Amino acid sequence: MDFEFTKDQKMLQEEVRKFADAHIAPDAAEIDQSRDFPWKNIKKTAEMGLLGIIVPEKYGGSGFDYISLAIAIEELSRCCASTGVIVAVNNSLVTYPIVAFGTEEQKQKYLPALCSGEKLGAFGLTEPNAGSDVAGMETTARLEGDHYIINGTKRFITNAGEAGTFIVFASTDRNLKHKGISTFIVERDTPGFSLGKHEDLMGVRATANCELIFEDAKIPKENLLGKEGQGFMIAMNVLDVSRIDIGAQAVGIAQSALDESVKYAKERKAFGQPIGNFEMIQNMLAEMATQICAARFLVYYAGHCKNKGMPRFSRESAMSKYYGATIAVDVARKGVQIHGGYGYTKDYPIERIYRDAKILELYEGTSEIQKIVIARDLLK
Amino acid sequence: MDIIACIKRVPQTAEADVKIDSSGKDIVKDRLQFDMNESDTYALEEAILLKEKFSGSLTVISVGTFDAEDTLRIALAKGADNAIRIKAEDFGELDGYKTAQLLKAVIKDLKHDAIFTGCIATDDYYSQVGVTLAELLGMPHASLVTKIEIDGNTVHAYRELEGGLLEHLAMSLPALFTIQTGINEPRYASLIAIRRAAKKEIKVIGKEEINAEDIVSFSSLEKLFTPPVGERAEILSGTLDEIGTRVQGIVKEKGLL
Amino acid sequence: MSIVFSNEQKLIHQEIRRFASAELNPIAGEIDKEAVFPGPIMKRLSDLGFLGILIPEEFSGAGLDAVSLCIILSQLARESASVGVAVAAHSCLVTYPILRYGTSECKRAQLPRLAGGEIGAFGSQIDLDAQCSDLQILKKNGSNVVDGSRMFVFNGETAQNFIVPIAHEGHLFHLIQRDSTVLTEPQYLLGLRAAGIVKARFKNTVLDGTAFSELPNTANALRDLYAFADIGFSAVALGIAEACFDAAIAYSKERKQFKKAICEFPMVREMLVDMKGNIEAARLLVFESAQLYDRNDDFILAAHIARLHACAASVEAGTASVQIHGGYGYTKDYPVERYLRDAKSLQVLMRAPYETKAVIAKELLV
Repeated sequence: MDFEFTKDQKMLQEEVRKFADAHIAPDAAEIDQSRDFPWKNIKKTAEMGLLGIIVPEKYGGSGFDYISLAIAIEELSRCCASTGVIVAVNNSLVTYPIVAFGTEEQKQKYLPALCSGEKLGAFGLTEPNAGSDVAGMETTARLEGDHYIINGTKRFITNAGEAGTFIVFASTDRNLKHKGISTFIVERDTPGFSLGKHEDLMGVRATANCELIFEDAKIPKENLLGKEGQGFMIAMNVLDVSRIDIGAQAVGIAQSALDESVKYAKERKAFGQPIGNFEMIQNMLAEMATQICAARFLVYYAGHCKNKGMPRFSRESAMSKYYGATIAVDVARKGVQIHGGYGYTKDYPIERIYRDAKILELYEGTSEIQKIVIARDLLK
Repeated sequence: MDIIACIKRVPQTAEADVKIDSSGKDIVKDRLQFDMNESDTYALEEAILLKEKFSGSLTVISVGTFDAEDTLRIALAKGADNAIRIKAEDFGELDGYKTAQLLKAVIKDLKHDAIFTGCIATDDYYSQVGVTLAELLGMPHASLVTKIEIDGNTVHAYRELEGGLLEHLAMSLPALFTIQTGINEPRYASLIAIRRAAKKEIKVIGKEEINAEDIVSFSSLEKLFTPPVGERAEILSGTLDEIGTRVQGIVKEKGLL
Repeated sequence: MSIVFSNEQKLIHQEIRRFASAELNPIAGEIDKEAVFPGPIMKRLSDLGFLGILIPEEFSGAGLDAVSLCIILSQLARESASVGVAVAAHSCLVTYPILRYGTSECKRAQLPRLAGGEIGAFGSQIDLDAQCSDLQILKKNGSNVVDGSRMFVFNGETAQNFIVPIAHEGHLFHLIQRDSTVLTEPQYLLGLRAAGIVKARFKNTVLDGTAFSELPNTANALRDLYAFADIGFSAVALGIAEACFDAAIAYSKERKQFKKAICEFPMVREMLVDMKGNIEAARLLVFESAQLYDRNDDFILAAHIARLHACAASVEAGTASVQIHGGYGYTKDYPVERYLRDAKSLQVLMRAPYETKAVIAKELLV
């Protein structure tokens, strides 16, 4: 077992870290307040090849592995959780399914624009009445001639407000329940497809999170991804990969909380000394650092499993997301405690980090769902 | 002027999960919040406003069990001078007619120029007590009153009917009014008033003073039940947006759009 | 010990609960979003006597005890933690020091005004270490003036009178009348956004030297004040926690996934049960500390413990409640994300838990 990064992973980490510190961090507070989508910075991430990290080079991607994806998402999220999730979604929820399940035509048609930043991607799975219960989705698709006609609503879709390419799930046969779900690539200017409400969220506020509304939307039948009825399997497969990313995002958010807290503990004085000298503060910092380290290695391990092409690594990826989310929330909580009375003002980023952290336990499968996945796997 | 207000303590069921109890004649009450019946709060406020305008005394009466004294105390804190509780537990199963008889038994011996009740109770919805009480006392009444004006010994009572019509009744005092919600803005009791009211004595009247045999009823409650779920209704749930989308879908499905 | 409320306390509970759900509930989300201090609501509260809870009747107050104070604060906080904190600060950090340490002229002059609706402000300091202060008292033209700034002034946005604790020549508390040398500035906060907690800058502002008597032990007075404030803030935390719990129960019954209400799932049930347990324990601690104060017993340790536990319980309840609401709980369409932000901010208000623990440890090891 080799704990060292490969040479390119090491370079990736250094470059992305420098880039994120220089460009992503300075805008984080402002976009959180304004909820403006950070296009300028996203375009810069595209230039660095960060929007198509695991996409093969021949389609415009960077051709890296899944641990590299995790490294990049962690570094971005450390500076700005919103930016981290925008890039994560583009990579693992949009480019990945096309790479894994797309035809050659679909890959050539959609991947280059997704990698260059010309079109961003969004993943339309969640519905108002189907959150954890994915199979309970009510959006339907029926084949009429050369088109699928899609009807329904998706909610809480990250990047939706700015995306050009959408991966959308709909039921082509409700009688077959989860075996009747299919996947479609939907372009923004599809007739019958519009955007709805822009969500006002507690955290990760600059992600253009909107509703997708399908009213007899006409999707060309070539845009079916995989086969009819494979939708649920595709969704679960994609979520397994994206959970590595979200685990990485969690580690990044937690790391930012730790960095801020260490800085604060050194600077802030009470009773004539830096509060970092107080054992209670040291207690919290030690716990935070340990939690982050453990979570990070779980993420790398899940990435390693995917790299090795292990066919079922749901348990590992669920663990990496569940654990990452849990510790990130706890680390952020401790971070606010350490900042004491200043922990809830805008003057310190810790209050935004605290708000951002909570979403990790909710999206892409709540922590409860992750635990059920893990338990079921254990009890097989 | 001597004014009387009749109030009732009812369970707040609007947002609660209501279940029928084992007797089949009542609801399970132990998890419910209780408060003064809504239209009674308006009736009480109208009574207090009248007392403030013409000066005099205001007595509040409630037919209820011991807990009703909390409601009577709030009424005292808001401005009533005296409070009487008629012990519901002494008179068996009550309906609107029995309640009116009990109130009459006490009120007939009190000075009363004007009596106020709420127009309807939100637990049993009988809407009987005020009007029945007026008849038993042999006095004129107006129900569902939305405005009252007093001009010497004449009272002008206004009732709002369907279609925005207003009915104007004139009568002389003493008279009884059942009050519609919205007639005024009920006040909150201030802390000092609450302190004082907490110490006041509430007169309690029961079967020693009122002969239970005199209080009769011509109907009895058979059972209380939730109506069976029909087949032609679809209950829509979810957020407003979701329901709106679904309604739009249904209307479209029925070919109405 | 068990909590038995007197008739009077039960009435207060009923009435303030009714007021809070009718008047505070509709505006609570809006004032948080806009970060607006709700002047009209504070005026209505003062008309009903809720700004003079502790002030004796001779000074036009309601003359109530700490238990009643806790009832009022928790019911207000259930609908709006911002309003709860504003009233708590006004009672515990402004009227309380005046009652205990104010001179008779100060009491006669200030208490009726505070009871009558004039909100008082308190310039809290982050350190318990009163020597390490960000405000300086200087002598200018024969009078004492204060210069510097305070980051967390409760109710500072609209108050005309400020109480500021600075240890100086035997005095701890100082009264400052607002004039042109006092500048307040709103600040963006994680939670309690409508509580009017502002930054205040004093530029050689004249101090009212006659307001407070000299104190033999300023450290003890500060200790006492923080403990009493802890009682008030712990009641606010309790209110927030109860709001979280009610919201979580209601939503878990309504929301269906996998064809059943999510309250059927054991993981959700466990969260609800844990929440309830923490809240009940918090309730006992809060009212215990209030009762100790009312009996003139030593309440300091109980107050700190109540604060620690109630605040932790409200943060956990907030987190669990958002979790139970799923994605919806993360949006501003539902109040639970506000409850969480308010609970978290309250937890570190004036003093972080680790500092409170240090203080408790000192008390335990005396």
